[in-house]
Amino acid sequence: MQAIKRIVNKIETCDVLVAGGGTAGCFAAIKAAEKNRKVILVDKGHIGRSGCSPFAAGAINICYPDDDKDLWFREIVTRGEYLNDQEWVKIQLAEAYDRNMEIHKWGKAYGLKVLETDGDGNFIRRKGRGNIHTRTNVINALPMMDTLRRKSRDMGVKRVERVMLTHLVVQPERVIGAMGLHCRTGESYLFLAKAVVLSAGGCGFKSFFIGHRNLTGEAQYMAMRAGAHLRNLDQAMSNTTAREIDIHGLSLMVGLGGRFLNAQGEEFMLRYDPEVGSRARLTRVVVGMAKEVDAGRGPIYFDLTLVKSDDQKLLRHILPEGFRAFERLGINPFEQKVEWIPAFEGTLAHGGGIHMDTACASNIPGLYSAGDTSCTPEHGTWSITGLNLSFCFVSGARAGSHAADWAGKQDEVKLSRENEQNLRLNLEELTAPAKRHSGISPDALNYQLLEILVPYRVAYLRDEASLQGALEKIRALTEEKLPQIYAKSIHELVKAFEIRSMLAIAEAIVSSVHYRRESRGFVYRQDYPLTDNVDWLKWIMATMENDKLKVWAQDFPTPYLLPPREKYPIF
Amino acid sequence: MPVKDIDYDRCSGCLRCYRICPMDVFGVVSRQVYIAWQKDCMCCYLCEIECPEEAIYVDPQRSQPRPFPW
Repeated sequence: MQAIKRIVNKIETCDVLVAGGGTAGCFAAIKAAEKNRKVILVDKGHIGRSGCSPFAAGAINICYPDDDKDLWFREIVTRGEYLNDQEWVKIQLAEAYDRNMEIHKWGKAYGLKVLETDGDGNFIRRKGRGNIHTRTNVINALPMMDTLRRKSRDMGVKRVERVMLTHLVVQPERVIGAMGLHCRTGESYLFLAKAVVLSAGGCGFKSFFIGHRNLTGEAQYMAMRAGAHLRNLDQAMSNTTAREIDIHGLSLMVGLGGRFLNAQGEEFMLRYDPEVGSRARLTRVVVGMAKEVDAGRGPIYFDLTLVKSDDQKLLRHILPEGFRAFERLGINPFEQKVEWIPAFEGTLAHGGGIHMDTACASNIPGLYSAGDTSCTPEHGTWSITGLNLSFCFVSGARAGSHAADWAGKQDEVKLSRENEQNLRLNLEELTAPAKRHSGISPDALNYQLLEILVPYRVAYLRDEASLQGALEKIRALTEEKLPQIYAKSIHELVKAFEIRSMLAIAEAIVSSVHYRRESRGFVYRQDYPLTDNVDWLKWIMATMENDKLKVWAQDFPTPYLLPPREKYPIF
Repeated sequence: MPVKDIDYDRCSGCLRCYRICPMDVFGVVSRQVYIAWQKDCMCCYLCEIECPEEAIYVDPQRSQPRPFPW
């Protein structure tokens, strides 16, 4: 242990280490603290203003006790194209109400309004994207985050901010902590913990859409490197945004009358999903947009000119940043259509992540996951609006609780000689870019990676050639360019490590998409255009073994709703 | 152009923008905040929302070019 003190700047010990202080991480920390464990909550930024959670655009899915759970279950599983973990869907439906009422109550005690109410004090519920029988409640993102930050403080959680965790510390029988770097001071940190919860979001590649550019997948990457299984990376997701600026809240806007139009002014989504048109699930919207462009009917527009006056006010209230952005560009989106593009967002939200069971446990003992870092088992492909935010609450709470239980049964953590050697190697990897005098900047490499991932033939209208081509280019970047990345400040050094993480996750995503030889959810393959419930109702898994990516397909149980064992076209 | 201006006539030096920025865009020198890494700004407006003196202006244009899907 003495030797370690000469290698890293700071060493902290706890029962439960939570990586990432968004909605899932805060819930995990709070629940672990409720069980009297010593909890450290670490975030790359400021807890409560970091990651995706502060930009949750007002929609949250809550199944009320008197809602028809069977009907909701059926809707979520069928719209999730049967890829869901059905046990998880049951848990989500059973526990979301309690978690939401809990956070709302905590908020009330702080004078904050988390769930939005109408004039009579009832919670507002609407029909958002994908909802047929299910409903979406309205939630206020910043009061939600302020509530969670204060509650974690009041529960005695130790908060360590501006630290990027980079590597897990593992022993053969269990995980024993993680190491990282302070993003401003450059100090190295070692956290020794009996249990670790990874709830640090996914990897958005710093692409389009609002608010996720500090989410570059380090938690998923460190887990994969340690041999954790990841799942559903083939379902790497996209949202949509304006071409000129990043704006969120699409689900709410579509729910209140927003429509997608092609260059000819047609609401083209009615062709691809006659039942719900522009309210179709994202998986169909982004492919629909690409198909229209491919057929020469682009560009694509988003049209809010039919939104009613009261709803315009509601949108401005719930999404102030977006409408402020339009205003500053001199655009009134209620009077003119706006050019729109799909926004590739990788493993953010429901785009795949760490494989876990109903206790949020990964295949590495003591390693738990929650929220977007996990494989988001409740969604399947993508099912309904606001489900993921609610899942962050439920999975965060469960992960924290189970991690606390595990920690309670563990002996003290002791570093082995191998751990010390690995820490040295990890630090060398982390600091190497600072020791180069020239090379490629993180920003330049980021752009080159996006040039591979973002074009519509790689992201949406896929085939063997486009996927294989992308894979080769990603590997070339990793092998040839990554070793040349350089950094002349701690700020840039953080970004250099983010690039390392992004490249690994990019390869895992494209390999997973390539592995799936059918179309399902966000995977639309022009060479395999059918959804194949005969041979391909499987989870695509990924991990690293001896630094090499391994991808495979796995059967999974469908105990409550049997999928029709047939093949059918998506459109 | 992302976070563009800090109006130093309004800025009280509370440093809340520096404390909360998720992208570590701001720096501090002698109790004064300044825009250190403008290219990393993601136009999230959290700094503008947080500032009690309305001293920050964020321009919605992206701070770095991005390749488009088409």
